[in-house]
Amino acid sequence: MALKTNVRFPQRGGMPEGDPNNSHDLLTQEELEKRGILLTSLDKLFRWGTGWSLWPLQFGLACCAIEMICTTQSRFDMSRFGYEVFRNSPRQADVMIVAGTITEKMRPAVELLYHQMPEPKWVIAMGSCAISGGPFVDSYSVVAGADKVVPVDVYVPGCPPRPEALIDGMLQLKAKLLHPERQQVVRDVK
Amino acid sequence: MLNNVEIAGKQQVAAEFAARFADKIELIENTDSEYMVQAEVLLPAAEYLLSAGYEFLADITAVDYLAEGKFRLIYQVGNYQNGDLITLKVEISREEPQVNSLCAVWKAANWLEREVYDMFGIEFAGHPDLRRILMWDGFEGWPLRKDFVHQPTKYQGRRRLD
Amino acid sequence: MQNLNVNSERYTLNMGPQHPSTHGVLRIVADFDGETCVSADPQIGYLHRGMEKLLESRTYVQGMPYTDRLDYLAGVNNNLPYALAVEKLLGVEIPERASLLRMLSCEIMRLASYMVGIGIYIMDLGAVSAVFYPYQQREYALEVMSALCGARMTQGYIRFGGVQADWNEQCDAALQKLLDEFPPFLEMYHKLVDENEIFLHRTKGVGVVTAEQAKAYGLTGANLRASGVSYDLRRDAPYCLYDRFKFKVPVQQAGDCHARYVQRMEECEVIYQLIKDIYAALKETEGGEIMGKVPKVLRVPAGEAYAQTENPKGIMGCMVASDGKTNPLRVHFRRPSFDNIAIYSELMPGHKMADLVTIIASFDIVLGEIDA
Repeated sequence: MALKTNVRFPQRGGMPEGDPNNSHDLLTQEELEKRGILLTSLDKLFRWGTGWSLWPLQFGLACCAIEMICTTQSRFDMSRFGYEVFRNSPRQADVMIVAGTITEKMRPAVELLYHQMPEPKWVIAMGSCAISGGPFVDSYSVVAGADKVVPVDVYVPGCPPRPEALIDGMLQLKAKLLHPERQQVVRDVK
Repeated sequence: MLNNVEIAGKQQVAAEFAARFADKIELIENTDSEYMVQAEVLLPAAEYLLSAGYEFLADITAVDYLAEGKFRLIYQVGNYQNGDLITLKVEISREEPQVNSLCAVWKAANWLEREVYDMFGIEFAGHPDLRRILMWDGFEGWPLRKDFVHQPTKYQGRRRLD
Repeated sequence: MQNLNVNSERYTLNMGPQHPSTHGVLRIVADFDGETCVSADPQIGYLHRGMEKLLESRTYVQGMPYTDRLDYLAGVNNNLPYALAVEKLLGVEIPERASLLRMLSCEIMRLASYMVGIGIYIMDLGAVSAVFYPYQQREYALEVMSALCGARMTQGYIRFGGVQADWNEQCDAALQKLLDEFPPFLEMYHKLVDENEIFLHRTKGVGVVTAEQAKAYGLTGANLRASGVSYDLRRDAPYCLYDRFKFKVPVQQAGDCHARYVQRMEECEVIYQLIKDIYAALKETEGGEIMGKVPKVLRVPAGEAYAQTENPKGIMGCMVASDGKTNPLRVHFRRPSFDNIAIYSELMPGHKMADLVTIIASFDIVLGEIDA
C-alpha cells in the first residue's frame, strides 16, 4: 500500500524548511510524527519489535537459575515486560541468559547452544560466576566468565542477583537494541 | 534383607571388633565409635557391620596427608534404627593407593568410591565400574591431592583491570 | 492387552545437560528399545566447581559462604553441618537462642525448598499452573530470611559459635504472613493436584523403590521415608535442640513417585508445626546471646570431625580435617542428592521414556549439591 502523503524525500544539498500549511513543502521526520505519520527503516522496526519481546533460552546452570525462575513467577512477573516466553530449544530463542557457573565440562555445551541460536542473538551474563568466575575463579574446573566463551552484551552483578536486577538487565538489553548508536564505555580487560 | 537382626550398639561393635580382629582394628582415643582399621580387614569388618544392622553407608572420603606419605580413607557407617554412626579409618600409602572395594557390601559405595577415585586416584579393587564421575574423560591428574598443580586453560584464570 | 512383542531397533538417547526437566545440568544417557528404557547412565559433573579444593585455600570463615552454594535452594541448611563439624573441633558452647535461631531459619528454608521441589515436580508432569502457587509461598519464606539477614537465597546466616543477626520486628511480621498464608495454600493445593487423573496415572506405580533398595543405595530424606523407612535425623540423632520438640515423622509404604509427592506434602505440615513451636520457644529467650565465645582469628585444633544434619534433600554430612592452621586441611561434604541419584541406573530400566522425567522430578534433586 502506498503512503498517501505529499512528502518529497530530501534531495542532496540539504533539507529545506517545512511548512505545515503548505503540503507541497518538505517536512522533517519530527514534524511528520506530530501529524501522525511514522517513518522508519525496516531494521529499526525489527529492533523495536524484538526489544519488546525477547525470547530467552531456558537454560539454568546453577544458583542464579533459581532466581531466574523466580523472576518469571508471580511476584516479580517478567511477563509485564514481555520477556516471559522461555524457550526450551535454542532454535527458538534470541537471548541466552547464562545463569550460573560455567565449568570446563559444561563449556562445549554452552558454546554449542550459542551457535544453535539463530541470528540476531544476545547474551546476558547473570551473576558473578558468569561475569568473571566469581568466588570459584581459581578453581581447576571453572571457566572465568561467560565472555571467555561467548560474546556478552549485558552483565548483571550479584551472587545471585535479585530478580529486579535481572529485569533491569533485560531492560538494559532493550535499550541497547532500541538505541544502537549509544556507545558503550568499554574498559580494556586483560 | 535384615528383618530380625538386632542392631548392635556401640559397645557391642567395639567388643566384636576386639574379639574378631584383635590387633587389626583399634579404637581411636577419646572416641567411642571411631576405629583405625588395617586395609586387609576392611572388607570383613564391613561385612560384619552390615550383618550387625549397619545398613547405611553414609560417606566415603579421603584425606591426603602428604607429609606422612599416606592417604587416610574415612568411612561413615550408620544404621536406620538408632542413628548411631561408626567411623572406620584406613591408612594406605601414597605410592600404591589401593584398597578393597565395598560395592559388594553396600551398593551406595559404587558412586562414593568413584568420587574418591576421581579426586584422589585411589584404586578400589573389585569395583565393577571404576571411571571418572565428576571430571570429564581425559582429564589428567587427581585434583584433591595436595601435590596437584593445575595448569589453567585459556578459559581460566583471574583477570586484572589495568 | 496382548503383548505384540514388536522388536524395534535399540537406540541411545541423550538427555541433557541442557534439558528443561533435568533440574539443571544433569545428563542421562539411556538406551531405549522402542519406548522402553533398557539401561540408563546418569552423567554428572557439569557443575563441578571444585568446592572442596577451594575450601582448603580459604580460611574457615571464608569457607562458610561456599556451603550456601551447594544446595542453593536451602542455603542455611548447608551452613549447619559445616558449622557443627568445626565447632566439634573447637569445642564451643552454642547459646540457646542461637541454636533456636539456627533451627528456625533451617525450618523456614526447608519449607521453601519443599515448595520448589513440589512445584517443579508437578510442572515437569505438564501442569504449569501448579508451579505458581508454591513459589508464592516460597516468596513469603524468603521474605522472612531477608528480613532476618538481608539475603534472599544464599544467606550465610550461620556463623561459628552462633548466628549472624538477631530476630527483629520485621521478621515477626514476615513470619506471621507466612504462617497465615500457608494452611489455606496447602488445602487449596491438595484440591488442585491430589485427585488429578493425569497426575495419578503418571505417578502411581512408577519408579518403585523398595525399602531394601533404598537402604542399600543409602537414600535419605523424604525419598527414603517414602519407601517405608522411618528415619529422620532430627528425631533419631538430634542435633541443635531438636530433642526438645515433639514432632511426627510421616512415612509412606508404596515407594513410588506418587508416594514421594504425598510424603513431601505431609512433611510440609510437620515443618509448619515445627516452625510454630520453635518460634514460640524463641520468644521465651528474648534478649539472649546469639554468639558463643569464639576467637577473632580462628585456629582450629588438629583433628577430624564429622557432623550430619537432616537437610531438605536428605542427610548432609560434613567432614573437616584440621592441622591446626587457619585454613582447613580438608573439607568434605556428603551431599544427599549425590547419593540419592545413584539409584537411577537401577530404577530407570523398564520404564517408558516419559516416566524418566517423572522419576527425576520426584527425587527433588539439586545439581549444585550433586556436583559440588
